[in-house]
Amino acid sequence: MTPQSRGTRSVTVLARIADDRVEALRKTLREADAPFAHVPGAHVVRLVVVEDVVAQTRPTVWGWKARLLDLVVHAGRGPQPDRLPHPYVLLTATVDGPQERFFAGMRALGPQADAIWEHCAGYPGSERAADFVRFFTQRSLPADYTFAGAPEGTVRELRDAVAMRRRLASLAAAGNGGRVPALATSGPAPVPQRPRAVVSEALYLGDIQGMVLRGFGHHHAAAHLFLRFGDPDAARAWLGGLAPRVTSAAQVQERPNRALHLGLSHAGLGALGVSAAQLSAFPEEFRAGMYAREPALSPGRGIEPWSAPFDGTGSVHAVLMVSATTAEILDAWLRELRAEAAGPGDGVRVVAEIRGERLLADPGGRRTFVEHFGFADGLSTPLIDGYDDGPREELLPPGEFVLGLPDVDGDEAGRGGPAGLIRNGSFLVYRKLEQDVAAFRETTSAVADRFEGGAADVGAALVGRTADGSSLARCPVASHVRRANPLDTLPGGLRLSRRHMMLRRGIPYGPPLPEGAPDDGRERGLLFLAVMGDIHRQFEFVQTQWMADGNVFGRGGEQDVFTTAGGPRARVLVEGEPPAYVPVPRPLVTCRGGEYFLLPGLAALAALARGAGR
Amino acid sequence: MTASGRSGRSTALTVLSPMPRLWAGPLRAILYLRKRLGPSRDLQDMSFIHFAHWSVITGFPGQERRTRYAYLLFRSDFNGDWDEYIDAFSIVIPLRMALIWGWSYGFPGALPTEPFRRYIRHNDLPVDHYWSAYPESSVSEIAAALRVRDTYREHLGDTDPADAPAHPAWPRFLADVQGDLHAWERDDDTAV
Repeated sequence: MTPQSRGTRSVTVLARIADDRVEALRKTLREADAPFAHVPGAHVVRLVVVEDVVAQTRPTVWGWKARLLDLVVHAGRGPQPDRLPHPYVLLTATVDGPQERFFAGMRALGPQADAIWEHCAGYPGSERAADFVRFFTQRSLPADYTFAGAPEGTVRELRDAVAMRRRLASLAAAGNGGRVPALATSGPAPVPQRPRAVVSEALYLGDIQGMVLRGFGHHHAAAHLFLRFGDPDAARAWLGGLAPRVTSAAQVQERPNRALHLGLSHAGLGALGVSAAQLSAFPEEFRAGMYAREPALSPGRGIEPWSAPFDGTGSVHAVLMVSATTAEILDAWLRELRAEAAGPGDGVRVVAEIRGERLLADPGGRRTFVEHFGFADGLSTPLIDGYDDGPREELLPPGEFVLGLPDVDGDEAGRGGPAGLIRNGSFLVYRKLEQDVAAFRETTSAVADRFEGGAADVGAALVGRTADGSSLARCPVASHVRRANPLDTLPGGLRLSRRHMMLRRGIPYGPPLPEGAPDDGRERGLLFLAVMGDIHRQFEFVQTQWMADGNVFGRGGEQDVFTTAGGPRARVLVEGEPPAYVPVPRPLVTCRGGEYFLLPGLAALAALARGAGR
Repeated sequence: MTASGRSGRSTALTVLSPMPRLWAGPLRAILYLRKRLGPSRDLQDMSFIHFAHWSVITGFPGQERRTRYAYLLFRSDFNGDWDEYIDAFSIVIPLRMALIWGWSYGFPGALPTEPFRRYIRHNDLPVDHYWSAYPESSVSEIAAALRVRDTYREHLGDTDPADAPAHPAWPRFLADVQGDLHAWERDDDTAV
């Protein structure tokens, strides 16, 4: 089907801006109050003041194919300076019917149209229709190729259909006469894999922090100490004493009974005296910190529920993560570490401490780790090429998790960053997610009668797995598990979705709430820890596109209820005969704070302690 | 999270890139061929592009002198994350990207993604005014709405939606388009 046979047309107009009117026009456009809402048949319209062309530079990084192309096409020569003949205003729109009709519709705006176009040379005013339309047709450019991804329809048809769908969905949800047949499982839960003996030489295990490549499953107790640095010299002295004891990936195979890891925030690196030039070379999101990014990560909520120590940008400089096989070993070591932090000089202050503890359960007779809602956790984790065993297509390049190594795009992870600081390091996303267990139980039991399998099936439909970790025969489209790892179910398939995987290293905190017990009002939840090479492409993408939105799953604004969402009009659709809706009147999970940390390589930690990077 | 033009779910991308005049003809021919062949399946499957337009400009309207180069003007309206949009193009159709932008100066190749993303960001013209007739509706939302509308007509004809739940065909209608009947509304939602 050619674009012409469809209803929509492309309109492009380049009108010369009269001398010295660029700023006035820009101001008018930025302040314009949606004039195109009154132009019939306009799908999308944009206006761009193009003062001049963008100056081109030759790429600094390019592959041999692009070089070869440049040799053929440009004879290997760079561009000469070029200028537009005049400043232009570019109008581009997608409209119903012929462009003349759109121009005529714009003329009907009268003074609103004049306010924009009077800044252009030769504008005849909107009084005479023929002159007005001719002004635009004479300045129009054809589109050589147009692609329309949205289904065919006029503006009116599309808007009416959208409103109708919304109304019918509300009616269906209000009636909530759904019936969901018992959920069937598709075989047993996945078994977490074991370490592999032969490791690729690309991975310098002795330099990578241990938790990057492997979770410490046998460590049942953990404590996270949040630190602020004071005097930089004293802080570096403290770091110098600590660095040699940070657990490396080489030690993981020996299954140590205790482990120590250290993450530094961007503010923390600054407080240690790292130079402004080095600090500015880090990726944007790491520089900004999670506090500044939260409004986009948790739309509608942002930092409002956050509490100490995460109560400001850069309020936490470092996180010291200590874990051990037993609480006794952990406590003994913590006493030692706290005493060191309180040592000579005002180098380090512990501003908060959170204890984590593994929760164990035996659902279905198999002993597994669970989280507070009672679901098996830590079952599926991405496999790393050069470290894990697995089918070729399931292995992810090490640069997805370790900086300086090749990543999934064939690029070097962290390229452009301060090499000395990031080599063999990783980024750690830390989020304290409070879980409201009573709310979860109320949510699932409230609609249990709509599910043949009762409340357990409501939970399973939301999670995408049964409590014991078994996969569902038909994984619900926007369930938590599917959102976290859509496999090949999204457009672009695995090729795109594998670019957004993370290694999860979380641990629950707070006492469990026994089944059937009333709400005790105590705080509990998950310390969400995820290791990755690119915070924006991995964590932030997953959080904003897969968790805090449902569009890519065909679920509009439906959000994941296990990250941070819920409210009076929040309800999850579960397909059935007919479909059921699960209202989530208050959030089941609330983020109480978090930060982006760098887990530097061991050599980088030692170098930082020596004052490198200043 | 970076966008110069945004209206609800819709983001605008506008790129004007110079190329030797010599190649304007061949590029037009490629775009013409693309037009004759019709929209490509894999691009359509991406389901987050409302519209994309390409024009080769060899003369600017009302020009008093000629520019040194010809220009490729690309504009697109899409849903979702800016970075992911650019990356998806690079990964899914790298060859076609090279066929279209390869003539332009500064094109670093479609892969790896980061240099190409930087190239597009450098060339993306800031939008001064952006308007969408259905800002809260993504491409897939529109497709869903049309499916619901058509199925509704099929089962319930022109029944007023207010009376629909009492209609005998209502359960059949619900079962047929259930995946499209999501009803999550945010606290900050406004009407359509």
